[in-house]
Amino acid sequence: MSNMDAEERSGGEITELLRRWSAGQAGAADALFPALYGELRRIAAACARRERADHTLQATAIVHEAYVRLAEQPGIAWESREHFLGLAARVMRRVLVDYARERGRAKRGGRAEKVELAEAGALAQGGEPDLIALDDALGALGAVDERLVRIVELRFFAGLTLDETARHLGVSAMTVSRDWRRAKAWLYEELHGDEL
Amino acid sequence: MSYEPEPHLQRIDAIFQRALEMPTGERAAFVAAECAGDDALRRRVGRLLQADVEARTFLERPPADRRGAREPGAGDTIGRYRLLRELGRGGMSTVFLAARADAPERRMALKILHRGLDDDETLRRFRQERLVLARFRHRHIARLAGGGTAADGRPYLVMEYVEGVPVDAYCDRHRLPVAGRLELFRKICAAVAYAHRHQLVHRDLKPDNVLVTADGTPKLLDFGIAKLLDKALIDASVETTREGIRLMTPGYASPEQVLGLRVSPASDVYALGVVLYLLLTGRRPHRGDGTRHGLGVAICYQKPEPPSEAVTHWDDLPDGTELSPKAVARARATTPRRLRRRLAGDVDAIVAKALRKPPGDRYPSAAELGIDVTRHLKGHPVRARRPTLLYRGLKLVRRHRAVVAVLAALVLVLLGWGVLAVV
Repeated sequence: MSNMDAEERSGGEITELLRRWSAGQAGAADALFPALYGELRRIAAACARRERADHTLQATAIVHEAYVRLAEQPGIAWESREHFLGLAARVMRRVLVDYARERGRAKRGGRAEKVELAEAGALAQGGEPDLIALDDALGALGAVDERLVRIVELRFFAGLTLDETARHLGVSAMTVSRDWRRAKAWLYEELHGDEL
Repeated sequence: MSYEPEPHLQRIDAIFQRALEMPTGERAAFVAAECAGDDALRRRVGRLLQADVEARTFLERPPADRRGAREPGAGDTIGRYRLLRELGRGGMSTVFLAARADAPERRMALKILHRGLDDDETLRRFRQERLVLARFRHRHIARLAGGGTAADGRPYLVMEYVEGVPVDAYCDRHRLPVAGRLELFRKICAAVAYAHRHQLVHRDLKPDNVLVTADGTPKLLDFGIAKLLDKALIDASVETTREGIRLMTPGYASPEQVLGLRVSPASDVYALGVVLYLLLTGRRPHRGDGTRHGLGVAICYQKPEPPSEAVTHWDDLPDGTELSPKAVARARATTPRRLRRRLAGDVDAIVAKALRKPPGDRYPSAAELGIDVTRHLKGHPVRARRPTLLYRGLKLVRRHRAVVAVLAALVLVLLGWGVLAVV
């Protein structure tokens, strides 16, 4: 099956990039980002096909599935699972925000994009914050403290627990807990400031 | 997207961070001092503090997670348990009658948290508390059988299913006289005391959480669960506390709970006092003006009417029905006059001491409250009253009526001899 080939090919490519990335090679992360992006979307699409239509995918599950697949590749010196997840979290943010945009476009009935609607639909969230607005607010949050942005990516987009986030950032769970609260307040104020 | 750090934002953030670390009461003054002369800065920090309060559940659910959007219902399976029917729904959780898949005849109560309460911090506490509760063994406390996490990530607890009725309904149904009610109440105190010895405060004691089985055994439900759920209260924010009060049962809340102050075993003593008041008089000590705020004010600042006086007049119950002195007395197998006399003195004093506003003025623990009730039942002087010589003497006399009668007779006889001898 050609589909299978594509997946295997991309898996090999990512493995190679990860190897270079974990070896600290300059520019590896930049190349890894789009590769990982494709991988996460592929996993999401596969999950969407598997799941019933009324079932919504969990971003966390996708990120973790990506990890499980890639972690089995030989030859990669993993610093830790959190190391990978930190990168994946950033990619996942992109994937989810893009889905939200595509879905918005599809809804407005504009130019029919070649979007896998089932996939975008399954990943779009109901009731939760507007991901596109959140993405903008995260940009602004970076001006306050870049670490807060990382924490939101890890906690919200990759679904890491407090402890996992702490391990990834190399700080105490207490610090993460405090910063998480701070980040939430800043974002909430940015998004709902006029209601406060 | 990369933004240059703005010094102004760093300053706002620094003040905001430090304000978060201090008790709610001190925040306003601190922020005002830090932002002296800069109104815009003060407003911005104020908005962030407000956002902190309102953002409690914000972003706590990963995106695209709608799996649990449907509430569980009868027929669903959670863990090893099949849900049979809904038993009750509170502000924080829903309780189901459930049966284990491998032992369908064993009925259990499965309690699952409502959505939005399952953030990391709560989950961590939940696990901790489960460990504590699992060690609880008391015949008057519903046993915790297990628990876990449902497919949608929400934690649940499985508890002994108690087939019983709320303690006030039980007492009225069986027309229990005051002594019988006090006897039952004493057992409830013993159970709460057991928990206090294990450093666990119930925080939400009310008749619905104190069931009595057909054979008259009281069983306490939901131990420690309230604590799991109102952890937001402890986060020391007046706003969250108000939020939390909405979660708990205001009619049984102590002044410190209404005010969002530290909760201690004395808070349970207060709630027990309210339960006792209800068992004795058919009504609660405070009603206020019918609003939540009014009730809070009454709880914090109004002295409750002594039970002996409360039973002498008519009252409207929250459900709209009227309570007559006659009906109250009848449910206690006595007459209004006898009931008033029965409550005046010791019982009034015990209830008043349990309901004191400052926690330190109440019985220090449920054990002490139970012991005082026992003392009263046995005719010993109660600690709630001033130990005057006359009071203690009267108690002694009543306790040993026969002995006193014989002694009195002896004295009279001796006196008589004396008189005769003199003559």
